[in-house]
Amino acid sequence: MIRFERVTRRFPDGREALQDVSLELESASFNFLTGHSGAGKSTMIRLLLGMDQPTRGKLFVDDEDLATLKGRKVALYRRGIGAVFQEHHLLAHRSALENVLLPLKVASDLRPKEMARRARAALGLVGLAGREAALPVQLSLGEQQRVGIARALVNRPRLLLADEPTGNLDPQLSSDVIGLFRRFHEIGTTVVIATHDLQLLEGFSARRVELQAGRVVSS
Amino acid sequence: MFEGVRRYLRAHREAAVETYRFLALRTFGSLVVWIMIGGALALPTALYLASYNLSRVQAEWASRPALSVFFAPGLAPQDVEALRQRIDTAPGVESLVFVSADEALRDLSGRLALKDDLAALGSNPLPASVLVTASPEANVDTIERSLRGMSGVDQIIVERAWLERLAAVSRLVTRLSWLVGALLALTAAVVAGSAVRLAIDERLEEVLVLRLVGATDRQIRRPFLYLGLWYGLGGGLLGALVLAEGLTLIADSLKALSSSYGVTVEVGGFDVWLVLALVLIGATLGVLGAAISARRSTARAKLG
Repeated sequence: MIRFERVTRRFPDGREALQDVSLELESASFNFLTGHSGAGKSTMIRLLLGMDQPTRGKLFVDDEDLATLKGRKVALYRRGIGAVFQEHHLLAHRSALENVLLPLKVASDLRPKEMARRARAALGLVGLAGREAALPVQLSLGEQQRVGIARALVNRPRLLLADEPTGNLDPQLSSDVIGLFRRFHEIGTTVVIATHDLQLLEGFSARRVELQAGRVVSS
Repeated sequence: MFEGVRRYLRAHREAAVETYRFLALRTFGSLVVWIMIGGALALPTALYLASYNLSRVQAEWASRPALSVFFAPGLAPQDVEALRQRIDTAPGVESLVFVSADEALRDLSGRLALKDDLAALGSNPLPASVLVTASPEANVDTIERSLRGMSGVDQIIVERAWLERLAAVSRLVTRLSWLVGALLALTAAVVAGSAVRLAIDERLEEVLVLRLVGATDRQIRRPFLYLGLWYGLGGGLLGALVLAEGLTLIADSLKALSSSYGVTVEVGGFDVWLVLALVLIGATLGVLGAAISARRSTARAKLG
């Protein structure tokens, strides 16, 4: 379970990205964070990823207070999370397969052959079978985004965080990607997707949390 | 447990191979770093070798001290011969070289081109002498006392001054090698650290992605430590190569110089252990510089 307890995040310039947010998201739930640009969606994703800390309030993931995680514990916490961003953050000098292998090499006890098999399977899931050897520069923006998604999913995370994951994809691919997230949700992964694209929500039964100027206005 | 060890070793192997490839793709840059580290290691090692060999020469000569014994002027030839024989059989004397008064005069006039002036003296003012070499176990002061008591001995000079000078030079070179060694070791570590920092800057995106997927600080720094290791190992090897070439170049000149002093000096101390030590010191400094640099630079690369 994810629990925001009166979380405020104020930046050094005084702007408050989140104001006194209290929210609970159930384990294995499928959630959309919606709202206009600057509403605080990305800040919530970053807090959940341990990339940032609340200025006030507490944030718990599975009863673990993220503010108390330091050093190695933060790294271990992140191993259970898959993260997808609009900026895909792929390594330019590594092939699609090598990019997807990264989380496995960092966190998995699998043998190299099994890692490669699983990474190929993840690329297959996002429709990139046969493109394993391609460098990011040889892939379209949409394909790059899908490599990023495969990388996020390859470790079978318990929590999947996505910040505008379909920003570079056409409507059909966007729908496919959300469908993919849905499949992971069905096997118990908690999914939190930040998006301003309301069309994405159509046809999916999911919890919608709407943010406005750093506050939750409906959930 | 075994799987954990296997995974740990695999991660190290991958980091070592990956960083080796990283260097191989940047041959010129790597070479520059190796030259700088190699030079920083070779210079103090050369000083160490100089100090080591000076000490060796000093120890060898100090254990076999020489005394110049001058006979009283005007001794009859049979007295000179008798004195020479007494000195030759004296305790502690290993060998001696006899120089007659005539030989001394010939030598002097030949060296100083004073032939006419010396001839004008009418008689030879120089005494006969012997150059005594003491046996290694003998005490030179005891020999001096025993020779001084012999009738017909005018003056004895124990040749200590140049040995003392040599010892002083040796001490100076030793201290200098430690000082220069410390400074240049620091330089080598800084060079490796700077090269690693540049590599981290180049791979900052990778550091960020690794953080994103849950890599620990140790995992993130590991490849950069191997980078420092390769820089240090390469620098150490290059330093050893430079020294070997340098010693080959000066070997003949050194031999000629030492021969002119009547001794044979061959450079010692440069062996497989020194090469090994140089490579290990290089590797240690490389890893040390890389560790400090990686700790600072990867800490700057925070997500968000």
